[in-house]
Parts: sequence; structure tokens; C-alpha cells
Amino acid sequence: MEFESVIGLEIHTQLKTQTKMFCSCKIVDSNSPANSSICPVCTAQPGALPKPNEKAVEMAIKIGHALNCSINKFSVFARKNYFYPDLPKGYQISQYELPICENGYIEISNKKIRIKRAHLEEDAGKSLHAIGSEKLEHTLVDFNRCGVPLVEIVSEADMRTPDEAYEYLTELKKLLRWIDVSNCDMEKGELRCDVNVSIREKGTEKFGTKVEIKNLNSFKAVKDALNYEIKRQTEAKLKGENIEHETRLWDASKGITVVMRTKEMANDYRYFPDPDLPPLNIEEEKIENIKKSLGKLPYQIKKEYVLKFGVKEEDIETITSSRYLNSYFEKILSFTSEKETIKNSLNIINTQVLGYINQQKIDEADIETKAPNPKFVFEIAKLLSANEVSSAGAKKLFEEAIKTNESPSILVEKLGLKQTNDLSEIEKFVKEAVELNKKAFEDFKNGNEKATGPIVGYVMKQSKGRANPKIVMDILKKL
Amino acid sequence: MDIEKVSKLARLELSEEEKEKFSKQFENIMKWIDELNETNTDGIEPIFSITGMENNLRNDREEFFGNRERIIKNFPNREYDFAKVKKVIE
Ligand SMILES: [Zn+2]
Repeated sequence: MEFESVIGLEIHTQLKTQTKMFCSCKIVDSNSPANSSICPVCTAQPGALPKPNEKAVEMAIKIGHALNCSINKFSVFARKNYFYPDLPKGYQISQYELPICENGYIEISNKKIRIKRAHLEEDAGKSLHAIGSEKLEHTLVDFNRCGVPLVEIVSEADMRTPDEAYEYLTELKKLLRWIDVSNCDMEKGELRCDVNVSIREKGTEKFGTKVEIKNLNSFKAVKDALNYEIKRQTEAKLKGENIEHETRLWDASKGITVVMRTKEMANDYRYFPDPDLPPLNIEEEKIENIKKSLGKLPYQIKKEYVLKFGVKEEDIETITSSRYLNSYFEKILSFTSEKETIKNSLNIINTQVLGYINQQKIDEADIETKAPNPKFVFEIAKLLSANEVSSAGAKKLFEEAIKTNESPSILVEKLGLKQTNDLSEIEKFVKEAVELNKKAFEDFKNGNEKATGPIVGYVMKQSKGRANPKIVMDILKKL
Repeated sequence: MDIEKVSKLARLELSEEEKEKFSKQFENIMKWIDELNETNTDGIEPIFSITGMENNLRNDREEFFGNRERIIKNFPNREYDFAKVKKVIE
């Protein structure tokens, strides 16, 4: 029996606003003193009233647009009722029947993963169960995070493999960062992911019993947990065991999922519209303006580049993965529209520029000021297109240009790296070389391509490395 | 109406007498809701808010509350500046 897995993802992303979702408390990081950014609203003092953050609403609309959702101009905040110490109101303000965004999709490897909904909600506080390795007798609660705006993005169960889930996550994170609504740092909890997974016999339609997995702290954890869980469920099915509808936690150190004790959480949220919050009714014009403000999105840019420059998708993956890298590349496009030079530039970016950025640990946001001058990249690419420098020479030029901050078009002369395309000069060297290596030349003529080693070597030596090897070969073939 | 379930969800501890008393009251409420459910609402848009207000948004601008100490003092229990509660996980 062959099984296939059916995977859906629920993502929570923390919005990059200055203040919380329903009060004017500043959003502070996890190193801030406990309960230093709290007020009557986010700690649920009697009579305190929530007031939604306009920026957060706009960011949610941005997310909807980026995920190809339809934006509901009319949407409603609802109370999700449950008791937990980190939730002082006894309910979380979320959206239920009428979320702000619905029915979108993300494209991965030519497959569409549908988005069921994306809605606004508030975060809960943080519970502390231990200080360092010392377990506490009590639980300590810090409400700094309570009320921080989140958008929950719920996919349909359209993924069939852990790899697809991984790709979906990667694409989603790229988009959220691109439109500048979240930093998406999973370690900081700015992006959280819960997965639903079930298995079914291949070819059948009916979903199997799904298991929810929580505590996934990295993309790798998502993939590993899914692989483990699919294996576990498959083995259970083959043994004729039932799969329980349950929530499991990923234990990364042991590489297994374990059943979560569910005594605290009654999954009975009794949602109802929050009477403290009037519905959102966003003007069509505003929704459209937000869409316009997004500009082109990475997947659109990608398609354009492929069409315009005939480049391979894999070669433009990086420069369409972040808007900082993209504007770096766009700088180069402002110098040239020549396909060959653009391709060469991409090559230099993908190898040397990225290498430099990684090695120097340059922050994305600092690329504009700290990455190698894009003009240099362009100049080297152009020299390559014109065959005026060898690929080895180009590498050297790049390194020297960074070191000296001198323009490669000047450096190429200074360092004697300029390749000569002067036929008569090269021909002279080639003839000399053939004269000195008659045996090698004969072998070459008899079809042994490798025999040219000493000949090319001689030409290079005589020309101080400036002879264009391609021209050398062309001449040799004609002799 | 399962009064035990409701009280558990609301974290309210009820005496046997209260359970009986509230059960009856809830039954009446539920009956009334059943009556409401019989009303024909075809073609009528649901109302999510009765104030007629919409949006009521605020700018994303920080306003420092400035009296956190009073909130912290109101925690049923505190340790340092944390709210101290019964242990919630093992
Ligand atoms: Zn607050």
C-alpha cells in the first residue's frame, strides 16, 4: 500500500509596528524588563477599551495582496475565549467569520498552495517556567508581548511532501520580508508555524485523521517533524492501528513528536463578535492604494527577468529573494541593458558579491552602503562580455577593486589583466608554440584535444596571460 | 445544557445548589434562543455591531502609560515585576 501525506500550515507572523494591536504601548524586545510596556488595555483592567492600530490593519491588507487574497473591505474582530495566565482578558481578540483576507495562493515550483485566510489578532504574554536551568515553583508572566499584532495565515491542506511545506515557508517568509511587514525571525518568535498532517492511501480523496504539530522553531524543524510524523503514521496504519486526532509537540533534541498533554486547553473557543470593537470597513480606494504601494513582488520580477534577459530561474533566485539584493541588481540594470553583461553581472553577484556579503556579515539593510560597488560589478561584467578579461582575470579584478576601491576599467590596465584579442599578435605566439611543440600539435591534429596543453601554456606565458584562450584555440584549429 | 462544562470553561466553581439554580436559568435562556432561531431571517444581513460605528482606528504612535507599578501592584501575586501564578506546565 502506498501512502501520500496531506499537509497544511498555520503561520503566525508578528507585524513590524511601533505599538501594540489595540493599545499605544510600545513593542519591546524580549530583553526588556518584565512588564515594562503595559497599560490598562493590554492587561485587561476593567473598563479599558481596545482601539485598533491603523498601521497593523494596513499591513494585514498588504499581506493579503501579496498572497493573492481577496481583501474583505468589511471584517469583524471576534473574541476567542480560553483561560490561560498569559491572556489576562480571558479571551484573545482575533477574527473569525469575517477575516480581513481570504482565498489567496502562493506559487511554489509551479504548484499553487491555496491560502484559506489571513486574519489579524493579538499575541498573548510570555510565561516563564524556569530561569536558566533552574525550574521555578510557580509560573511567572510577563505581559510585554501581550497585545502585539499578529497575522495568522492559514493554508489549505495542499502540500504533499515535507519539501513542499519547506518551500511554501521559504516563499512566504520571502514575501513577508519583501513587503516589509515582519522580520520573520523564527528564533525571536516573529514567525511561528504549526502544521497539520495526515496520510491517506495514494489515489484516494478522503482525508485521514489529522495530527497537529506544535513547537516548531525553525524551518528545518518543520521538515524534520513532518518526516518523522509521516513515518510514524504510516507505520501505525500498516500495523492496523488507529491514528488519534491529537496535538503533538516536536522534540528537536530527540527528533520525535510526543503527545501534548491537553488538560489545560479545552478546544471550545466560543467565538463571538467583540462588542468593544466596531467592524472594520476599509475604503476600496485605500485597499487599491495599498496594492499599488507594494510595487512588483518577487515572483512577478522573476518572471519579468526570465522573459527580458533570458536568464535561468535558479540564477535569479537570490536577487529576487530580498528587496535589498534586488535593488542592488537593479542598479546594475541602470548601467546596461546588454544581455551578456547582465548575465555576467548575475554570475559575479551570485558568487563573489554574495561571498563577500556573507564573509563580512553585512546586514541585508546595509547592502546599499556596504556591499561592493555595483558599478564595479558592471564594469567587470562588461569586460567579460567584450572578452577583454579572462574569468580568472575577472575574479582577480573584483578582489583588487574591493581592496583598492579603484575602478576595474582602470585596474585592468594597471594589473595587465587585459586580454588581447589582437589576432596577429596571438597568431605569432601560436606559430612559435607549434614550432616548439611539434609532437603536441600533431596529436592535436589527430583528434587529441588535450594535447594542446604545452602550446596554450606557451602562448599564455609569452602574452603574460593576456591571450584570449578561445582565440588561441580558433587559430590552432585553422593551422 | 451542560452546566459543568460551561462553568469549567469559565473557570467558575459552582456549588451543587448553584449548579441547579443556573441550570434552570440557562435552560430558559436556551429556550428563548430557540425561539429566536425560529424567526425567519432569510435575506437579512447579520448585525455585528449595534453602535453603527466603524473602524475607530488609531495611529501607530507610542503613548507611554507611565503607571505600570499600579498595574503590577494589582496582580494577585507578584514576583519581581512578574505576575506570579500557579504552575501551568510540568
Ligand atoms: Zn498596552
